[in-house]
Amino acid sequence: MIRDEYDVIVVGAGAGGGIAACVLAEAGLQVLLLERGSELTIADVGRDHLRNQRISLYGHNAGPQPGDLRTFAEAGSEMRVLQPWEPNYHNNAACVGGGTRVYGAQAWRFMEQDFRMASLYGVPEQSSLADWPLDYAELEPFYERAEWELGVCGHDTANVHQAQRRRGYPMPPMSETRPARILKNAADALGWQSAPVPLLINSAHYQGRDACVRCQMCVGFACPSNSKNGTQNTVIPRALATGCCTLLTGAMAAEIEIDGTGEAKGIALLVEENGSRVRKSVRARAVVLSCGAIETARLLLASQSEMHPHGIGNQHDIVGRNLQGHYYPGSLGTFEEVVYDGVGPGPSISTCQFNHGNPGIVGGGMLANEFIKLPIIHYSWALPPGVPRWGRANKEWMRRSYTRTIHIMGPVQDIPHPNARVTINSAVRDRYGLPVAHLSGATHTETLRTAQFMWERSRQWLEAAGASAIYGARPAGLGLSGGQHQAGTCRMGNDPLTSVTDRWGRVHGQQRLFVMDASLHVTNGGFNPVLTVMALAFRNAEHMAAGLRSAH
Amino acid sequence: MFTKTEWDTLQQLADTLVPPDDYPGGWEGARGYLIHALQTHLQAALPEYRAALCALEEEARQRTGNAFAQLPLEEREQLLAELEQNGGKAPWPMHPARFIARAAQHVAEGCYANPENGGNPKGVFWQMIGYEVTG
Repeated sequence: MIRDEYDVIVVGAGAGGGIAACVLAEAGLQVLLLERGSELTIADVGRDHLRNQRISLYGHNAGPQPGDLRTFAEAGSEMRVLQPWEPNYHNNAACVGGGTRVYGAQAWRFMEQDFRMASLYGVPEQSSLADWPLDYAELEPFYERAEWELGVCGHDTANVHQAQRRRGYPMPPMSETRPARILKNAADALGWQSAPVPLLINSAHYQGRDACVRCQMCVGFACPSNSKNGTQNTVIPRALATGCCTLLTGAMAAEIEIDGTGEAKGIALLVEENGSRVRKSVRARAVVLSCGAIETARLLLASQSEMHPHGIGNQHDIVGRNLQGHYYPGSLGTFEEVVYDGVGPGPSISTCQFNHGNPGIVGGGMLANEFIKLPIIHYSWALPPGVPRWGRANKEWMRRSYTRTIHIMGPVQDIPHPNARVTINSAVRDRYGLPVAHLSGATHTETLRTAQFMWERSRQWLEAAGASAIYGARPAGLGLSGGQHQAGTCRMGNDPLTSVTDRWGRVHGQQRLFVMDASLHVTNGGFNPVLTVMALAFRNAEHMAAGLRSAH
Repeated sequence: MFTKTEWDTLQQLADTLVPPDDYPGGWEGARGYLIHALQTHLQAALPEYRAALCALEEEARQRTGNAFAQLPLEEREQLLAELEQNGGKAPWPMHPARFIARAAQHVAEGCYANPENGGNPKGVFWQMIGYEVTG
């Protein structure tokens, strides 16, 4: 059912890979889009409050599967073998659409300053902070494409701290919620800018699908009204409609295959056929890796040969380093009156007042109110100090507090550390028998300082909003940040000594091998990174398509 | 799965962790979930549960002369609080504080997760806290 050769093989049908497949197929190139997970219906994803991408106590609803192991070691402690739903696995969904199938869909552009952090702040000692090889202006048209071709709702001009945009959003923001109203008044009183949270969710009928029904199970779940825009319901169907793209699910990339000169020539993949697993080699004129920052690094590192003894693209020991996601400082506020109106998805007001320009702080971050919480999340993660875990007082707290709590939090710009990294652990094998990704290291101390600064801002906002009690621990300790916002492991750059790919995502020293996911991010902004993944994929795939077409 | 005494102890433990009032208690809220979970994803915890329920019963007998299941709520609360703080004398499979914390989490999972997990009958605990699924 699949051919031996394509123009392009794209590995991973998530945010980056879905867009790569669409742009390349619409350019008339023959594309094989590989996905290790499957195409999930809303029923497949389900509504299990104990097994989802927000709280995964006993399993997941959108992959990866049991046996897709990783290992993890904290400084000074023993290595642990982890299943995908366990803490420290740093999971992102594995299915058609990838994380976008079940994400919260916050649609942030990075700011102009986020592309030149090293120039703006200097490089903190022991950090690998660097500028991007491109600036905001170069990416801006592709942010616009992502916003219009997937569909974003938001307020065009409310966010005065964000950089210039040529064109507004295709849809207006969702109607204001009660927490947004309360927090807007508080921000005004503090003299802080605030704006609705831009979302990759339809606030109105758009591209043939309906507006959001404002339900209470958004982040971590599939959308019941199909109003949340991921790659699975936008660009991947477009790619398939060209007739030039083949989507193969249940296909695990085992290795990048090379020719006699060490150049990538295709992918060795593992698929089930007639109940047994077979290994196939598929050739291509170009290979695109869009597996997410951990799995893309793993695939490069695992593709070892005499010509690439440490993995492809890793001649300078950079692949897998600088793993970064986001610390998420925040606080909860208890109010005397009911502040909950049950109108989803939840994040409805934000401030970018503190993304930059904070004295003595390297960068900063955005703050917003949180998604509507599953009740079991409220029980598990929102308990104030002094309230017991059980008994009459706990039940009374649950009964009273659920509708009287506002949670503010946000991602802080991670200051990368080269030792926060992905390596290969050949001693542990996954369910395919492949060596697993091993995670180790921790973020830089500057990340923690920023997190503490932003934690104070979250308290300030809740105080101004009239919260009678404010709680939530001050960030402490250095850990690995990654998770669904994982980035940085194959950073772009002009210098092959300090980066993995060039400014177009082409792996240094390779003519036909590209990375197209958050691995490329030199830094990860103080924002949810997905819109930047999408914008980069549009830009780099366009460039790649032009190159392949002219070579025809 | 459990002896008659263990069932009785578990029921009253659940109703101590989430006491019934004008809304159901932990047993009504989590019974179906616990029975299912202890045979599936919490199966590994079943021996601990058995041992801990026996230990809890023994503590109650030693201190009050009565079965745990026969104690009024206040005495059950007091016993759990003491065990949490000072540990126990019976052969516990782990520190009683740890077992109580785990049991509290499991009972809460039954009460506050979606009814398809076996607990929270007709979403009654969601109604209690004000969470409603509309879409």
